[in-house]
Amino acid sequence: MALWPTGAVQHSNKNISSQMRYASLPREIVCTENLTPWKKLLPCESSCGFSALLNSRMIHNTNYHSIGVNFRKVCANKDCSEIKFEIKQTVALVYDYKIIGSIDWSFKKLFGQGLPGACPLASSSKVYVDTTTNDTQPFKLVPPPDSMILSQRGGSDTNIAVYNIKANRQMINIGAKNEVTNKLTVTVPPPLHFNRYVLGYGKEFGGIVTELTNNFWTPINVVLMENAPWWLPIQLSSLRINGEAESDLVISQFYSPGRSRQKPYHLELLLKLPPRSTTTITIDFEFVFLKWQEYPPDANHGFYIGSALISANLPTARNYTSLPITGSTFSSVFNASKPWYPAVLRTNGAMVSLPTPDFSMPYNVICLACTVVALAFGPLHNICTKELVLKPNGKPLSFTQKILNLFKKKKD
Amino acid sequence: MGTESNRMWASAAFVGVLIVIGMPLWWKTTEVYRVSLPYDKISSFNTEAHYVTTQLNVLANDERTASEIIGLIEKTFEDADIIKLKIKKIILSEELQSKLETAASEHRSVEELANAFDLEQHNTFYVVQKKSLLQDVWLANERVMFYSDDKSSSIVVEVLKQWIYQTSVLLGARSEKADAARQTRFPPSNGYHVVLSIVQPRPDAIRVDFPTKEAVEDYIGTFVDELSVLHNFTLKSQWLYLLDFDFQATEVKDKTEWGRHYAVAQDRLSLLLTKLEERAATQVSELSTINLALYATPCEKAPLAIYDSSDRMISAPVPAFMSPKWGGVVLGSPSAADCNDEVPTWQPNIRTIMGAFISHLRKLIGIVDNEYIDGAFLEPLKSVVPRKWEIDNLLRIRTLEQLTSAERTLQSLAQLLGEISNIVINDEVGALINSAVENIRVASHLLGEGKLLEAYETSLIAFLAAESAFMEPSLLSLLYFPDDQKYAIYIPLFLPIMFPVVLSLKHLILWMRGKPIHKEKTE
Repeated sequence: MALWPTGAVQHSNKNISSQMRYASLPREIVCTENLTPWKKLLPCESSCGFSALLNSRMIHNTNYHSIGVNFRKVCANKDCSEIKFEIKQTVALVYDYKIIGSIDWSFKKLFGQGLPGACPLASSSKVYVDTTTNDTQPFKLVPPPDSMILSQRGGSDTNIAVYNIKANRQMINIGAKNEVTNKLTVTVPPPLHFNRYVLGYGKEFGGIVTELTNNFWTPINVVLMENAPWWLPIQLSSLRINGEAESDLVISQFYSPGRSRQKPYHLELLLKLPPRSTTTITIDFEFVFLKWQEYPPDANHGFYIGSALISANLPTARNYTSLPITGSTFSSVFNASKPWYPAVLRTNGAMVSLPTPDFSMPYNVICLACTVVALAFGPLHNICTKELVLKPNGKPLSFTQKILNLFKKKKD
Repeated sequence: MGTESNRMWASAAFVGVLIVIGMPLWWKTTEVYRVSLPYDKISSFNTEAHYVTTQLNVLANDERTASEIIGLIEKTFEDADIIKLKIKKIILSEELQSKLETAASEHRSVEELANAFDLEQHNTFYVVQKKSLLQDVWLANERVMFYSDDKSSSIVVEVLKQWIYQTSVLLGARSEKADAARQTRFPPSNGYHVVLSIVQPRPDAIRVDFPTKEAVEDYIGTFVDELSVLHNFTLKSQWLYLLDFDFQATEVKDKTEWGRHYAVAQDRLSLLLTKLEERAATQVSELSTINLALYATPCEKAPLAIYDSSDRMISAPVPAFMSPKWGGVVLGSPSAADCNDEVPTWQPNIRTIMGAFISHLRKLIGIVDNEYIDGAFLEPLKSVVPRKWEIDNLLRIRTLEQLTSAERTLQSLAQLLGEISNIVINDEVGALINSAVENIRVASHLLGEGKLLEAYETSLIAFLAAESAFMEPSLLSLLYFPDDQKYAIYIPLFLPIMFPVVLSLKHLILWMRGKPIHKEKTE
């Protein structure tokens, strides 16, 4: 329910979600080694064009960064008899004013350098700047934009400044200068936000809590997809929504139990989030003992749980910049009003600490057991093989007495 | 004395359990797992003993010429231990003789001959008399060679030795040290990945119209199709834009339409390969990759010409160079007219460029170009496909190379196993080694019998099995579990227990010999 094909897929009665494959590597983080192959997919690589801005020293200095590659089939002509492939590469960076040092920003401040013109192979290269807050907190764009666009989408108006970047290898440094520098506008929070954490103590049972907050004034339908690896068995019987086992909020649910070392656990819930409320979803899991070779290096660090996937149909397009499903470029966003706006969101991940054995224990046990055996063995061996013989009293002289006798003889 | 024997039996029991059963059990259980291997067979490999048997049919108009030619050939190849000729004497029928003589061209004669004999057979070659030849010896692209009469027999022998059988290259394939041909061609493999990259450093300045797909299919595809008995090929093409490379070329004035050319020093070219390697993403295939790159020189640096180390221009239809075991690069330059257009567009000459790539590819695959022999004429290549006898020779070279390479791999593996005791040989690796040994035996036998295709396939299996056995990661699974750790675990048990047991041995031996243990105390 949570994920569906977005490209041109042949319509058939087959259950398409049964062909879905989902994988996540929660321990892996995006870093330079992912950025370089990502850039290599572009025809101009990082020699010119927008990817020249992605200087790994600067972009890993942000509050949030993500890179993405989306691949889908799209129709090549009107009646969709031919299909072509679309590859979409995305970067999202969230900067902190504290890191930049001021509320004025520019390409130089954000990326460490200007933009060296567009990629000569690009058919269109554009920079869009959202200038909606210009009314409340005036700022000036330097250099001035080539054109302005007013986009009305889902009842919210957005002013957008457009720069056409030409492939002339001239450095461009777009920036904003605020007139008032000691005030900040507070951004309106998005209609949905989430939080997730791990419950429990001891090494027997634990729980994952996912909190979904709906700030909007109408109910929002969301699908929550939880995918737990086999070593984190989540039990459907322990599912509680706002503390209740049977909740009216659940419209539909799907659960596929996992199998040890073979299949992960999969839970999907279609929920109707009531307006201006927080819904808490709790599900318990049992701690599992792994085989000693299944532990990763540094097992005491803990095990990462992947994020839950939440797909929502938002009723409002405020702060929503995702492309409509038919669009390929950012310009398809303008005035693209729809009854609802699909969004796939990911919660934060979490970490559990599975019972981890002391890996040096076998050696310690061997040493200890061997010592005990050796201690017991000595007397046992002596009893079995040695004979206690009574010595005639006083007859044989001891070594000291012999020496004493020697001295006595000398004295004589 | 009853208690005395009881004690001794107890002592003997301790010795029995600990030393006779315990020690071997401990030794056995901590042993590194190794499947038994045919070490004797591996050590008895003799790489110099392999030879190829090949069929040679000598066709002559009369008995005397045939015997003379055969006699000379036999004498020449007598002492060649790498190739054994099975010579068959055939006297041409009157009808075929007249057909061959009256044929309009040598090419027609080959067709006439193909009607009478099966020229498609691998490892079979025909030496045919044709009196009306202009040259002494005429070598076709098929498995046929014409000679005029018995006076040209010395040239026939020379051509057989240097062109058809290339005995020096065959020896190089078998020998321990790689010869020039082996240093150039790719190591044996069951397949190659051929990538044609069009490098365009300035896509904003000039458009390059190059039908990559057609060029790859028409030229490289046709070429490798003929080699399908040898290897599988996967073909790919790609465009690389904005590759920034400075040739450090110096401008030289000349009398062409440009009025100049840029001289590139030969030593500078290898640096281009590094740049290409960075971008070409050749690691996508697990097969070894043959790189072919067309560098589209930007107008401001065109045309490029390669200068050798003594600063002389190397003249060629198109400046190109080849890197052994890597691939080939062609430096294409647009013409002055192309660059002066309103929208500069360059349409490369596909024939010359792909021709250069094919000549690179021939060397990289292992086809050795022939040196000139006085009096002998080699039919020039009319298309990209290799000559039939070149394929046969390639089969011979590769079979020998794979056989000797597999044998050397197994021998070094056996040597390593002797030197490093921690290498594990599990059942899979054991099976691979055994199959390699068996296939080497079979392939060597087939090669001696002259069944070239079967020998090639078997030797390839042997080569791949030996390589994968040598590279198997499971060999190293216990490399970091040295012997002292084995002792460290058991010493706490064995050391304290062994002391009393070993000390009691003396008493036990004395008792067994029937000697009194305690000296009778007399007093």
